[in-house]
Amino acid sequence: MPRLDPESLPAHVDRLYRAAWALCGSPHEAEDLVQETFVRVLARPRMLRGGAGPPEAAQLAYLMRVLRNTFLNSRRTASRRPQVAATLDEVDAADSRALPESALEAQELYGAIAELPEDFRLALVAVDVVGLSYAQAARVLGTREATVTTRLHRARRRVVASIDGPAGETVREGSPSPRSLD
Amino acid sequence: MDSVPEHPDEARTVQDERRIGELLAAVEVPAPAALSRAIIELALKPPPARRRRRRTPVLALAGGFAAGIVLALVLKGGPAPPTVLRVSTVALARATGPAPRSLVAAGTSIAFPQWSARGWPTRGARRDSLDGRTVTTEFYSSYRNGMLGYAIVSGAPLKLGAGWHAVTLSATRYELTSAAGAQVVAWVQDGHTCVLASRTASAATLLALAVAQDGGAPV
Repeated sequence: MPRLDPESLPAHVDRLYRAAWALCGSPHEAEDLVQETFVRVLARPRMLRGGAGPPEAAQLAYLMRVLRNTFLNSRRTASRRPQVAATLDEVDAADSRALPESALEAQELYGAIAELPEDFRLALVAVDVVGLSYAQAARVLGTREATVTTRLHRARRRVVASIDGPAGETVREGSPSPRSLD
Repeated sequence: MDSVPEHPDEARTVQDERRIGELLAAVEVPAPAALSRAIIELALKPPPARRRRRRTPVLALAGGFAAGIVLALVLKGGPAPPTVLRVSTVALARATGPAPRSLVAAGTSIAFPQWSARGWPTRGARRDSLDGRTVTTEFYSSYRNGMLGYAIVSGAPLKLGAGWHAVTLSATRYELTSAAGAQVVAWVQDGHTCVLASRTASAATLLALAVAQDGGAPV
């Protein structure tokens, strides 16, 4: 059973950050989530299971599993706390960096993903954002590969419809499209 | 979005997969630099105490024991050199009163940051005098990560002592150590020693906070 090499983990920070952003819908929360994930992973030596395939893939799968668990734990913790609405000042202070256009586009896309039901969101993040195979995603998410496939299809459909609007839904089943008028 | 069909057809599945790929490829934003650097440093450079223990276990044990004695002496008010480690014991102590809305450390022009938006609201403050230096400390708490103290020392930068591990981020040299079950991060800002210490938060958390507020920028 190979050992998780801490020195190879920083290579996955960007991908984990995007995954975290898509999970929670906020770049600021994503930073905390990624940091918490790496702190947990680096707290002690780890062994990688299910070592079929390249080590990078096993590392990503492991990181995705810890990210998912950290995210779900934080959501459960947050649901037990009284909710306090952030003020505009707090929002400004939370991220003083000017967001470039790409970050604004990212916010739109990751925000749409974050609005998905949790199971759909996790499937899309595991496969499309992190890049796991369907089989790896099924192991990480604790479900069957067929379930991942179904959730992924529905998640993608919803996000495309959300981003592209009516034009992106022209081939949607059960709804008339401009071409169907012919 | 609620009327999305249960079983999308194959053509649409392929179309959606391609479209999601395009959308994600267009927004491949990197992680913020401070986050990346903090994780890189954390992953690449383990704390020196761990490395020293592997090479010279007896010396490392003796060093840890000595650090414990220093901390114990300081807590009892005994004689100890004015090191950063001594300041960290103040940062690990309790607040003696509420923190004002905007607190500037005595003898400096450094204002304590507001970290409530980062999940670390202020929980109090205290002021101490150590060997002629004024140490102003503000305390912050987090639901997940417990409590931390941020101490700023008047006067010239203090001696670090042995057993620190340096990390340079954003052109600032941060020194990390752990002692008596606490994580400590120290750096010099505007000519004064700043110390973050916590028994519950990780070194990465302290480092990320230190990097984020460096230069007085809002967090």
